[in-house]
Amino acid sequence: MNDTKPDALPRLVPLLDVRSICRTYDDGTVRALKDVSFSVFRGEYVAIMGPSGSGKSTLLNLLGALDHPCRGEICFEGQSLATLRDLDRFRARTIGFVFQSFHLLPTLTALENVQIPMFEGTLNRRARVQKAEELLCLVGLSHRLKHVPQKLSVGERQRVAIARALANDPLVLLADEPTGNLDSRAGAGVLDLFDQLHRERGVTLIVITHGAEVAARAERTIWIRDGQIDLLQMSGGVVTRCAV
Amino acid sequence: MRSLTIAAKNLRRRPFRSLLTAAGLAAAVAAIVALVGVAESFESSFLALYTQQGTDLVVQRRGGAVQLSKGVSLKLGQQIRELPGAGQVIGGLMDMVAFESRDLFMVIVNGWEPDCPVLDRVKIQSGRRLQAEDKNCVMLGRILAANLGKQAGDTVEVYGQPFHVVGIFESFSVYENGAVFMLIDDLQRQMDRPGQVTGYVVQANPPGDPDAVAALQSRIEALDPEIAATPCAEFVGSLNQMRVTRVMSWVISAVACVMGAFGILNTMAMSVFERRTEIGAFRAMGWRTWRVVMLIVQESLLLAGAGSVVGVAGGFLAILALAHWHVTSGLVQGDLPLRAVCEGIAMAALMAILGAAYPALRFARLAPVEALREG
Amino acid sequence: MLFLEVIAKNLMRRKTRTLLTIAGLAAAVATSTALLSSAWSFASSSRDYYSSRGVDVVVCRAGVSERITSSLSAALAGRLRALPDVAWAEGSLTEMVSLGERALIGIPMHGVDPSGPTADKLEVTSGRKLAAGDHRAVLLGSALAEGLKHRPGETLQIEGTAFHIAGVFQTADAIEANTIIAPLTDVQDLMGRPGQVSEFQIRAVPAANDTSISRLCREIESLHDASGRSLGFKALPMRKFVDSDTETRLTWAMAWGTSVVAVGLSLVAMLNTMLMSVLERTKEFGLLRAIGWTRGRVMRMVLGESLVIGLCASLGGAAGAGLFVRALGTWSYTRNFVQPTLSAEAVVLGIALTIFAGVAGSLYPAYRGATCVPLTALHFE
Repeated sequence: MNDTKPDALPRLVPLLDVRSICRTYDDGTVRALKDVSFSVFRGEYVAIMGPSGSGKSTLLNLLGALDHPCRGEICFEGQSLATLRDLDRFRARTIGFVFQSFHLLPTLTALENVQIPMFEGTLNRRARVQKAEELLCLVGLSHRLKHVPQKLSVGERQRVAIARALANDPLVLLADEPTGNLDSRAGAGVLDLFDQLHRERGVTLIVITHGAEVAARAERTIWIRDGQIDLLQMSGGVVTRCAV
Repeated sequence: MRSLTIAAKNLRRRPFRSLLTAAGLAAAVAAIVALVGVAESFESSFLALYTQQGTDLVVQRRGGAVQLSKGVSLKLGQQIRELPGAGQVIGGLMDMVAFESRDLFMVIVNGWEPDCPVLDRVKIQSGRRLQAEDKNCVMLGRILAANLGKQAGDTVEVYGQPFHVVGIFESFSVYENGAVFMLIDDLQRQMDRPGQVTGYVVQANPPGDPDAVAALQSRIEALDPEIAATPCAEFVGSLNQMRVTRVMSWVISAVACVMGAFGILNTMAMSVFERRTEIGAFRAMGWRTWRVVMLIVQESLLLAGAGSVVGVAGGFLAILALAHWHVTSGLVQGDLPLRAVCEGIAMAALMAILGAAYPALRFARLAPVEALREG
Repeated sequence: MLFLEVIAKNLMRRKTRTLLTIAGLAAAVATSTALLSSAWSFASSSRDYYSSRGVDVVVCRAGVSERITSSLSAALAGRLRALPDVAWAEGSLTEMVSLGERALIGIPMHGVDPSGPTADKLEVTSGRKLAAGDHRAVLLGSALAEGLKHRPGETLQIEGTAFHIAGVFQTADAIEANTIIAPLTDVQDLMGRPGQVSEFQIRAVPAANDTSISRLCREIESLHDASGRSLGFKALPMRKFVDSDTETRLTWAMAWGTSVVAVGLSLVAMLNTMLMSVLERTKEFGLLRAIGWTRGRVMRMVLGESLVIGLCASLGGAAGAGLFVRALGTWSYTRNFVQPTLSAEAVVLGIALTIFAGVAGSLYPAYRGATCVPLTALHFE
């Protein structure tokens, strides 16, 4: 498969390349994903949208190297996930997760929560703390460093989660319904933060959602329905053609 | 639907956790049953040695050990026989030897007179019983013979000297089955106690009659101020070895109980904490505090019941193992005394109630709205 | 933030549960440490008793279980002294006696030659040493004298017979300080054991080494009388003699038996606690694996928690053991065997056992926590 762009940009290797993946459950009776293919390039802000039961969660798990496809392969910067032995390390280096339920460790402060992914890295303690502080400032929580999640508002908790996701300088930020548990104001704040990260730091974002207003903020949207890519949708820029 | 049924269903909802708690309890109960069981059986089989023969009084030098070094003279036995109201009088000498090569360290050696009723009482399995003319001969108890790998006709080394095995015998008592019998003058010679015995077991005439026994007791003690005539139950209970065994088993049981209590307190506290919204809901529906507490305690008791069953079985297995391990097979009978089982179950119930009552009270007493809000 | 801080915070989250687990384990540690310490100090006290007198070999009756009640003929000392490697040989008779006025029983009384090396090496702090012609005169250990409130010059009833207290001797060992030293003939008369001793203590010539001492022991055991019958000696180098004593063995057996039970219960308790703790935190473990923590790191975290619990329990248990041992030192049935202080080796052993039980009990929970599938864990309700 190949991509074509309307304006002739030089050919780049996609950051994330999904090729004809399938995922079935229950011994082949339930097909969650059928022959899905698409690419994401470095610096893109992509939304994956679809109703519940469409296979979004399955797709998220596969992209996040939490699960394996039954067929097809997923490549990051040209390297197929199937060839990797240590997926834990890979996830630590490559992917930053942002979950709908935040999943912060309740006994640790915001500063400590952000440092958790860094344990697998090479920074010493002082450098870790410093970097965590910087990230929290970046997301606007410099005044909340020593607070435990219980003492933070839901919006603030998600921001901590975002800072944590950036801790290891991942290749891609993978967000699963990031505003699902937030009220509209907090949700807007988080989406503004995504914009800021994308614009100012060139972070590659993949946001999975069922809300149109969330998807509207992205550069382009990939639609999923019944386990298959459904439509081409363009919102400002690049078109991806997918096999159906 | 009764409260107990609700309790049972609650437990089934968290099967793994319930299983773990019951398992922890079972371990504590098994330890208690095994230890108390061994100590109980130790004492009761020692007592049976005396009571089975119809002994009313044990005559020994005042003191407290099973065998004292300063013995009692043979003359005294004759004097006791001549007292009015005295029935059968048996004198015996006892020592303990070791068979190091077989890891046997506390083997009883009994010296009996040739016409002693004990030699008639035991069942001869092979060979024959000791006779008056025998010199440097022994009879071995069944368990000891098996542990030493000896048969009638073999030679065995006792006190560093060779002895001829004339026969193997079987007795009702585990102690005798693990013992060496020899003639009293042989043993006196080995122990360098010419003319002495460790003590006498005396039957009153008529046997068992409390007045006759009491009267005989004072008459015997009047013969010599150094000796004491004690009813057998009292005698056995006062022995140092018994005291130490009892205290040891009590101490370890206490430790097991404490650990079990902490364990169940831990898990019940956690379980109650997690279900505080549920408890709040019960209160909101009108259940009074004591009823809620009873529900939690019932759950705990059900767990204790399950744990007790497994624990008693486990303790019994441990006792059986000791009865078959050669080092202890001569001392441990392998039966499960009722008292041990009762104590084990009682401890489990106690642990369950204590462990559940406190956390349950804490949360049941909260106003329903508070408990519901914390969730 | 250190890895250790994460562990500590995990434990502090459920303070009550952590404290209860520590308390339960501490009870187990305290008991086993106390008993192990008693066994240890009993053996070392016996060894000190002999080594302070320079004893290299001890000879007793072959094949007996209770050495104290066994007997050897005192006259045989001559046969032992005649052996080439022997510097001196002394017979002693040890009996458990009862003291009349206070009705104390089970007090060890050592009968020795008043002019022999044992009596000579005693450090007599008040009164006088035993002399050759002494009759019915005794020396009391300092602790015993204090307990009975007796002083030199007074009379003491031993087994119904009046003895004169010649002096009081001092010793570092708490067990020995509760004994009586008397002339051999007096003890023989008192307990009806004429011409008998319970053991011979032998000092080898200065040039002796381990090999020559073993040879000496074998020589002694092969001694026989005029008609060719063995004298029935058992000779052992001093350390081996102490370690193979039945009482020593019994105290060790009780200590180890209790420790095994304690370790078993601790393991079960730790397994219980950690498994519940891990199951509660399934979502968290799922998250940690999702964001890249390796299985190894998650396992290390759980094992680290159990290690911290084990260490805290050890400390608490050691303190409890100290109290327990002091209690054993005052109870009349065990006073003669137990030093009222903890031995350092026993404390170390107790700590090692606790940590072993704790870590072993948390291996399976750690494995469970670490190998959870992040996928299912995160969606676990």
